[in-house]
Order: sequence, then structure tokens, then C-alpha cells
Amino acid sequence: MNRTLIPALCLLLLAVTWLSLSYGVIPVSVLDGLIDWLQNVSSRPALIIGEIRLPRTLLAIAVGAALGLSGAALQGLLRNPLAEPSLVGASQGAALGAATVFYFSLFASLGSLATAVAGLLGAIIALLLMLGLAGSGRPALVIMAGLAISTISGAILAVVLNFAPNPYAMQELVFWLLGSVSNRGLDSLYILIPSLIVGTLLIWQQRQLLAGLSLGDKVAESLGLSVSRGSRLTVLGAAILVGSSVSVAGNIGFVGLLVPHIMRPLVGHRPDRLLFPSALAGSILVCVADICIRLLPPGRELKLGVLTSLLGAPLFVWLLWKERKRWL
Amino acid sequence: MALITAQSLSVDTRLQAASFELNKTEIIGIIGPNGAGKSTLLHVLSGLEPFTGQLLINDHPFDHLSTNQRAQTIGLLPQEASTVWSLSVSDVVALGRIPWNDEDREIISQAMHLTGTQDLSDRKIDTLSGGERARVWLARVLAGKPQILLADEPIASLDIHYQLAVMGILKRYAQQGHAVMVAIHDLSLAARYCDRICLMKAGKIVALGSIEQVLTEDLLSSAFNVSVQIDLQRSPPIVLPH
Repeated sequence: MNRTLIPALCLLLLAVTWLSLSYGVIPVSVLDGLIDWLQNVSSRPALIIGEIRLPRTLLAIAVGAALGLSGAALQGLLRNPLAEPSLVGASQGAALGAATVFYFSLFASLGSLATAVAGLLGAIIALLLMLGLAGSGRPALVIMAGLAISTISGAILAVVLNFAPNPYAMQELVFWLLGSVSNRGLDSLYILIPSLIVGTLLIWQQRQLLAGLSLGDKVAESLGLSVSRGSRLTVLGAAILVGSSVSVAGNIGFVGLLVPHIMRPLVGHRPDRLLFPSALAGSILVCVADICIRLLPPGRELKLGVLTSLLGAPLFVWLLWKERKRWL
Repeated sequence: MALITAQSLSVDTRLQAASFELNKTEIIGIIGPNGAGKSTLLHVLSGLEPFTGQLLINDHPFDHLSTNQRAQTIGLLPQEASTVWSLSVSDVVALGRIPWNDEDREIISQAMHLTGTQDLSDRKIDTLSGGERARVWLARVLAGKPQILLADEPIASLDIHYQLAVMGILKRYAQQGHAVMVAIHDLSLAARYCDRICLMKAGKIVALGSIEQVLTEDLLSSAFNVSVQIDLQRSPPIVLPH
């Protein structure tokens, strides 16, 4: 099943990418636009495809991959199907980090990288605090610790919003936090792509650990895997992925939770084989969600993060309902 | 030939100056009351706990082995095993190949054959009974082909049929040129399957020797605080509390 799954997902992603490039208010030929843009010809199709739709599509793909992969990695590491970047506090930590920098204009020397670095630091600190607080991989403790860290980050974020210098700044912060991939230039990819590569490599190297951990810490350790070092590297990888995607695109919830969950039965529940399909499916999901937003009637645009939450939350309720059996 | 040579292994107060040898083709049963240090000893030998003292594996110092070499040589079947994921039996057994970094189908199917789990191969682990699951965990360890197999109470939750089956598998595995150390509470089965017995109490090895030397009324009643009835001449031998 795994042999056909990845090619199928790749094909689907290509189709969705093409759809995302071709759909818009103004009809243009995607191919002409791409060719013109690559040859630096300043035509109308080149402008629309190259400057507007391509960054938006690539960003959706990169953010989706980052969220899907980090969700799969965290669920495997914590041996908890409910673990998700936002449930373990990483997203809120990243949002807080990025918002604080945005607000106080810290790290000015880093220029446009400042929010990304801050998002990354925020996500790492939040995940480390969560792991420290939970003390172990026990699912219930991880969820509670994640909730505590999310709540604290949320409270501090509220303080930041409360004291925003002017209503305009506050509106900008809030809109950014809602999550979106529109109106971002290709330069935001310069932050996201390297983080995606580094985060993916860190997690990919620990795929044996994720497999071994499915039988528990002791078994993993006795199989010659370094549990504590590997766990830290996986958390770091996930934090890099979540931190960079939140700092560029804001909070896009539930992707990291749902995507691994949908993919899991297709890979025989193996946490190591779940990684790559989750990244691909995350890309597809975020890209499709972004196309849906553009399909809505014009006017004030619905934010991507709002849509994924609106769709994701009921699915989360259904997931909890199914998981209930395990806890009762 | 000694596969393990241990000299005064200690872990704070849980394990105190344990010295012993484990030889090729041998199965040693570790007995003793709860909290005697049986699991701690097995964890030390499989690299899960830091220790003081001298430990040689195949005449090489333990800390000279890389974690991978250690995992290839020593397999641990821990006391409590579980998985949250609904993995297939063949995937669980394949995890035993992690130290070798391969998924050798032949070795995996051999391990499943040895434990009689080949018919379960496509079943999900969470749909199996306790007895079936215990044999799958054992197959997982056997798939790593460890020279030394450490089993921590592998038969604790099994019915008598599976108790005999699992002990039989361990015994045969030892006889095929490997060595096994098994923590066990059933003294009659220890007498029936083990070559030597190691009696532990409060972190110390109280006695280590042949069945006749260790399974005596004096040693057992002082270790467990109950009087026991012992008949080692019978086949199978009987060791029961009064």
C-alpha cells in the first residue's frame, strides 16, 4: 500500500498546485505566466502568476508540509494520536515569540528574519517547557502540560495585544495570528524553505527512534536507540518546522493533528512510515483550503487559519469521541 | 565459554555487588521476592541503567561496545510491553531488526516460526490475546538474533499452556549456541527449564548455582519468608509454598 501511496500523493499535490496557480479572479494561462516570469518578461500573466499566485501556492505547500510532518513526528514521539503542534504549545509559543518581536521591534539587525527567528525560539522554549513539565512521554501528562503552556503563552499574547501601540498595529497582529498565506512575497520562502529542510532532516534521522518508541522507552533504548538525545532532536526539528511556519503564515490549526491521523491507517500505523505521507498530505490539505478561500464570494477574505479551524474542530471532536474508548 | 562476566555490579542500593558468569548454551533463572533487584540486574546488562563495577561481554569491556553492537549482542524482553499504535504483528517483529538496520524478511519469518506467530503475521497487535501478544514480543526480540537474551518475567501473565511454550522457546534458543537470563516467579518452572538459578534478595545475589544447590528449603524460606515443599526428583520437579 505504501508503494502506491507516495506517488499518488505526489500526483495529487501536482494537480492541486496546478489548480491553485490557475484559479483566480483574473483568468490567465499558467504556462505562459510561468514562462514569462522565469524569463523575466514583465507581462500581465507573469505578474499575476509569478508575484501573486506562485508565492501563495508555494507558501501553502511549505506550511502544509511543515505542519503535517511536525504533527506526525510529535505524535510518534509522544506516542499520542492527539499530540499536535498547537496542543503541545508550540504554535502558541511561536505566535508569542513572533508577536513580541513584531511589537517591540526586537532583533532589528536580522531584518525580515526577525519574526521567523523569534517564532522559532518561541516554539522551542514552549516545547522544552512542556517536556520539562510533563516529565515523561505519558500521553495524559503531555496533553495537560501542553495545555498549561498554551494557556500561559495565550495569556501573555493577550497582554501584548492589550498594550498594542495603536488599533492599526493590533489589527495587523490579530489578522496575522488568524493565519494566512496570501499577500506574502517569495522572500518569506527564503525563511521557510531552509527551516523546512533542516527540520525535515532532523526528524527524518530519528525515524528509527519513532519506530522503536512505539514499543516504549525501554525497548527503544535496548534496541540501541538514544531515546533522550533523539527525542530532543525530534522536538527541535518539530519546533523549527512549527516556529518558521507560524512566523510566516500565523496559526493554521488542526492540520498537524488531522493529517497524520488520516494517513496512519494507510501506512499500517507505523510512525516512521507516516512522516513523508503526512508532509505531502499536509501540503495538499493547506493548498486545497487556500483554494477554497479564493472560491468564496469576494469581499473581506476568510483567513486560512479560520477555515482550517472551522473544519478541523468538528473532526477533532469526532477524534476525541473515538479515542474515548481508550481512556474509559 | 562466558558470554557475560560480571564483577561487583552495583546500582545505588537496588543492586549490590553482583558477580556472576553467563555461559554459552546456558539458561539462568533469576528468582527472588518483589523488589529483589531482578529487573535492575537485567536493565544493567541491557544498557538501560548506569552501573559501577566490571562487566565483560564476550571478554570485551561493556563500555567499549557501541550502543549498536550492544543492541546486536544483547536483546531485552521487558516486563511490561505495550504499544499505542495498531501495528501489524509482522511490523512489530520487524522492529527487532533495528540494531541491524535492515528488515530481513527471512530472519523475521524465522523468529515468527520459532514462536508460532506466523499465522498472526497480518493481524493487528491490539486484536490479539495476552498469550498471543507475549509470543509476538518474544518474536520481536528473537528477530534481533541476540547472542544473549534477557527476559524479564516473560510468563507472568500467561496461562499454563503458554508458560510452557515460552519457557520451551527460551530453552531451545539457549541450546542453539546463545544464552538466556530469565527473571521468573514460578519456582517449579525455574527448576524445570533453567540450568542454573540465581537467588536474589534486597539487591544482592544470595545464591547462584545448580538447581539442587539453590532450590533448598533453607535458602527459599529465608528469601521469601514462607516454608516450601520441594521435590526435585519428580519429573517435572515441584517447588511449592506450604
